[in-house]
Amino acid sequence: MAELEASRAYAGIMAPMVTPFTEDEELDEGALRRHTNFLIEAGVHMLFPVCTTGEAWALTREERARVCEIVVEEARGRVPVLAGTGALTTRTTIDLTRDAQDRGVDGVIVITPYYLTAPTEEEFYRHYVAVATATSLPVFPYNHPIQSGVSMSPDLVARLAEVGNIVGMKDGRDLALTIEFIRRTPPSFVVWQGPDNLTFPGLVVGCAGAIPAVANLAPVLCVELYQAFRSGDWQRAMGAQEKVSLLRNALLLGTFPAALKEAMRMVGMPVGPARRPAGALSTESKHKLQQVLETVGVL
Amino acid sequence: MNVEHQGIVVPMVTPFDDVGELDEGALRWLTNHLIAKGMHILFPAGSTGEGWSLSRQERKRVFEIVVDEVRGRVPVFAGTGAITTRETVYLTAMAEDCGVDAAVLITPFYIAPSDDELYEHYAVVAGATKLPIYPYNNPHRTSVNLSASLVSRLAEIDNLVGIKDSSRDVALTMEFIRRTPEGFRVFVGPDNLMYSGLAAGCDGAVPAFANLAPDIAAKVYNDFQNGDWGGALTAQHKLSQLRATLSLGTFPAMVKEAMALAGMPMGAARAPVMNLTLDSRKQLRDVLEAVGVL
Repeated sequence: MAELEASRAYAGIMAPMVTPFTEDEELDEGALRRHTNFLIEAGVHMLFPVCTTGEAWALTREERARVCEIVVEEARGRVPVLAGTGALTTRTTIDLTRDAQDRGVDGVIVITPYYLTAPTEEEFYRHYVAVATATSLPVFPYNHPIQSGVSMSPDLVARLAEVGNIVGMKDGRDLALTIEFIRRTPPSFVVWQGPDNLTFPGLVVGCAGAIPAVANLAPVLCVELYQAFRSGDWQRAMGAQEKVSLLRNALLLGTFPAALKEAMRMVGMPVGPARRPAGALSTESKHKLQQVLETVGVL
Repeated sequence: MNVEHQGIVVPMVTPFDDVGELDEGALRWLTNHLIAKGMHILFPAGSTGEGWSLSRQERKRVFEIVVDEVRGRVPVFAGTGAITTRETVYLTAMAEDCGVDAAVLITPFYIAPSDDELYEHYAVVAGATKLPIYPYNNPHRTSVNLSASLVSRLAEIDNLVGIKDSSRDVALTMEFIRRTPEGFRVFVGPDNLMYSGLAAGCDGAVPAFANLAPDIAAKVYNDFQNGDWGGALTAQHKLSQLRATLSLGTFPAMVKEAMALAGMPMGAARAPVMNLTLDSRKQLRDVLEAVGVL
């Protein structure tokens, strides 16, 4: 990857991979291998195991490493694999980052510490510098204020972009903020947009790519959106975005990512349940989900 | 299940050495110090104890050490909550093996479970342990708030004996008391609501600054129990003044820093939490002097 300009190497659709479990909530390695190949064959440009969609919070350190190992093995260098290694403390984040590096991933995506009471910008800065210093991998901070309760500022991101191997970031939800992150960082700094419903708008404002959870279920649709955008066919891109947004809204039924896993079961790609306390969807929610899948043409 | 738990529950800080490793000697000292100061219950690996920063092995070691030093003198509550049901079951079983007397279980955080999912979560954990368990409500940290109707359902589970409520919403705390049976234990969270919580009918409180100033916390509790409400309120104001220092840094850095200033070094909080700035440290010292801790 090193010879490519970062913004090209990390362009396109990144799939935030679900983590398949067996019915008794153990890691389902076979399903994970199948899913890795399914996504690559469908044309997604990057894989992101151990992410929020992949219930990273539910995985032990050993399981996280095993997931990275399996995805890297199956990907066989065909697409970059970027692993989620964020944790609540700096030391754990460094441990997880080194684990992922040892398993051969191409970069790490590091969510801001959560649960802590409002860490300061200086604490965030030192956190990311410590992690970046502890690895030779490209490091991508991950701003996810909706779930983590904390947001990075443009000032902070501009400072972080000066750190050698902090080469980009994942942002979520607030497009005005995303635009500031792009404006305040060098052109080579990669910004990905998080939520599915902002895939197209994110590309329009200059994001290198997007990380839609829907890509697990409908990777071809997401890739089509991206390619239509790149080829200048914005009408077609917006058409695809509408479908992606419809799916996205349906995936918020129940406790995330229970609906995504249910949808994958419905379309014949079972990946098991989400780990509890996330429970199964109600009959009514399943019905709604099925209708959306039919409307969009996934089912 | 009936339990006698009552009084001041100290959410113990976890001492670390200069390289951020568990400082076992300081933890043993703190355990004995708090008991000598009359604290009623010890609660390691909670939020004040940076439970989020401890590995499974470290958490186990903390429980072993505290149980070992307590020697049955006071009950030990172990913080064993996690985001998933399976990890919470695992940590609770581990704490039970260490010989603790109860488990305090923060609600899942980062995700947003429904009431039914939260009910199942606690029912499964309760079913997997013989320990009395306490759900722990801290919506400001978790974005998950236990409702009074959910807590009244949970109170029907035999070994779910009470709740720790840090909602800062005394009206909600009072609903928990009103809608649960006699004997269901309710402990109020933040330091600045200790007096209000006791007045509302709580069985006790969980003040972080009891690590630093057990005498002040004891005075709030004892004066209140003895009917000296004026005395209790005066002590509460000191405790509240200490609590207000949370604005000086990222929790629990100011608690540890205050203990160091008072001659009880507990090491730094784990990164990304940073030490206080020089200016904040000076403000902290002024507060400690004002309340008579220094």
